[in-house]
Amino acid sequence: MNVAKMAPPLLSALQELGDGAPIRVIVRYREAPPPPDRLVVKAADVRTYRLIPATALQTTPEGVRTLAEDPAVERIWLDEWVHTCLDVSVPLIRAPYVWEAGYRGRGIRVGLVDTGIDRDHPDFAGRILAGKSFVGGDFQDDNGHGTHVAGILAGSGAASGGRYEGVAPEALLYVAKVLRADGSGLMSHVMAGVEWAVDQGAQVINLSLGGIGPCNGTDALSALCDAAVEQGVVVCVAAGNAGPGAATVGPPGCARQVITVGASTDTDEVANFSSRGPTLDGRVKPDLVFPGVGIVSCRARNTSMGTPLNEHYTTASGTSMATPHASGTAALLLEAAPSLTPAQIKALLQQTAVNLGLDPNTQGSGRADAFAAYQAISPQPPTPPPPPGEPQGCLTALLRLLGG
Amino acid sequence: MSKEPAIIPKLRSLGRQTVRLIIRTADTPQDHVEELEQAGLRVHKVFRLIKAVSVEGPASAALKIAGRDWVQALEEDQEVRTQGTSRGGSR
Repeated sequence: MNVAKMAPPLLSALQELGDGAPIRVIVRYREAPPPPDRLVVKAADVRTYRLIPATALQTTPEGVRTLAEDPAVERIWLDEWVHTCLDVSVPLIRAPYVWEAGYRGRGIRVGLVDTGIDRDHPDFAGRILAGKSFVGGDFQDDNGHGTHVAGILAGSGAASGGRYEGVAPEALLYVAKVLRADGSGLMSHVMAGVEWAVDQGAQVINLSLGGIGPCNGTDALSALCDAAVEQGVVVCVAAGNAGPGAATVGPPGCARQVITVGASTDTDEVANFSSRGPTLDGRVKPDLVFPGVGIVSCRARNTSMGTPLNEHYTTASGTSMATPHASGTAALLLEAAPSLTPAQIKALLQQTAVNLGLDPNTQGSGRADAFAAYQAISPQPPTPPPPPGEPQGCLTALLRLLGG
Repeated sequence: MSKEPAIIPKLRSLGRQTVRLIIRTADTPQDHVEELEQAGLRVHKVFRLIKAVSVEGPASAALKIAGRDWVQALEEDQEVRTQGTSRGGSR
């Protein structure tokens, strides 16, 4: 096998994959690539580039080895997913424009009901007001999920020089640990955590969790979440990762009054895994989609959830990652207009969402736009400031590949 | 909301095996804690936002109280999970 032509991540992938497994690669040729029907291997989904002599294709590990032996081939890379870092997903929903207007979630109390949090992560310094475990032990995150979610919602980016800043970087956190180290828990644990957060005075509660769908919103957890909304708390809930089939939203995502959040990509497609509606009783869900694919956010110490980037950050995908974008946006809106009710916030986000032109049971009202929602309640709507500079880092692998 | 007809045969089939349930009550759940405990169920939590209690105990004990007037609904205390996918960049 001609390993000299293969990039290290490709070699690692080949070691893990079985012989017939599909694998996506990018092949750079010394000169113009052959037309798809003249490739030396059987390939699918072939795309030839114009700016560089390269072809992206899907083949098998055996096909990759054959390609590597082809003298016309110069280099082969694994076609890796490009990260949607917080420095991409947060600007995508135009949260930085709301920051420019003076609102960063300062003083807004958010309940994080999850696997706990890394209390010592620099991105939350001084902003974890209280925590409680409902599954034994303390509320230190022994899974990594809760810390990642918290970073998207309210991370300051302190450990990244401000690069991985969450949606509401000055919000305050109440942390209820309701899921164990393996990421699971019982509905009653979650219910207890939500009640505790309400008792602490949380104005927004984030639930990046769920059970198996379909559901109709009458289960105890969904009913309790609706009751929390009736107490004036904005509750954002993950739709689930059981898509793309219909009626795959699980509890508490079927609750009527919560904001049920699906996941979209940085190119405004709805993620394949994102659960779809309708609910068992025929209601449209999710309510909205937010970015949730390949999100870089905080990593809890001694955990390896997702694909770790370094000591302080890791990459993960899911409606879990989309949901804190919604909760953070709600925190920004509440700071800007404290009298908004949960129903008004939900309606605002839905009315100002970017319609992706998809079925409502796939996209809800569309991909949310924090700044558009803010503009709708601002007495003197500000004009958007100039767009932020080119994101650094996340796309550099692609740019390097293109010779940029 | 109902007494989830599907759960009754399941409880019957489980006999003395331990189950975890959420019981929705028609009135103040605190008023029924003693009765639940006398029936052999351990009460984990009495909720405030909705009229409900979470309990654990033999399925046969849960069956005993299922028919009480004040029991509005019985449901399994189901597992919930984080909604992150296993891979960092999967679509």
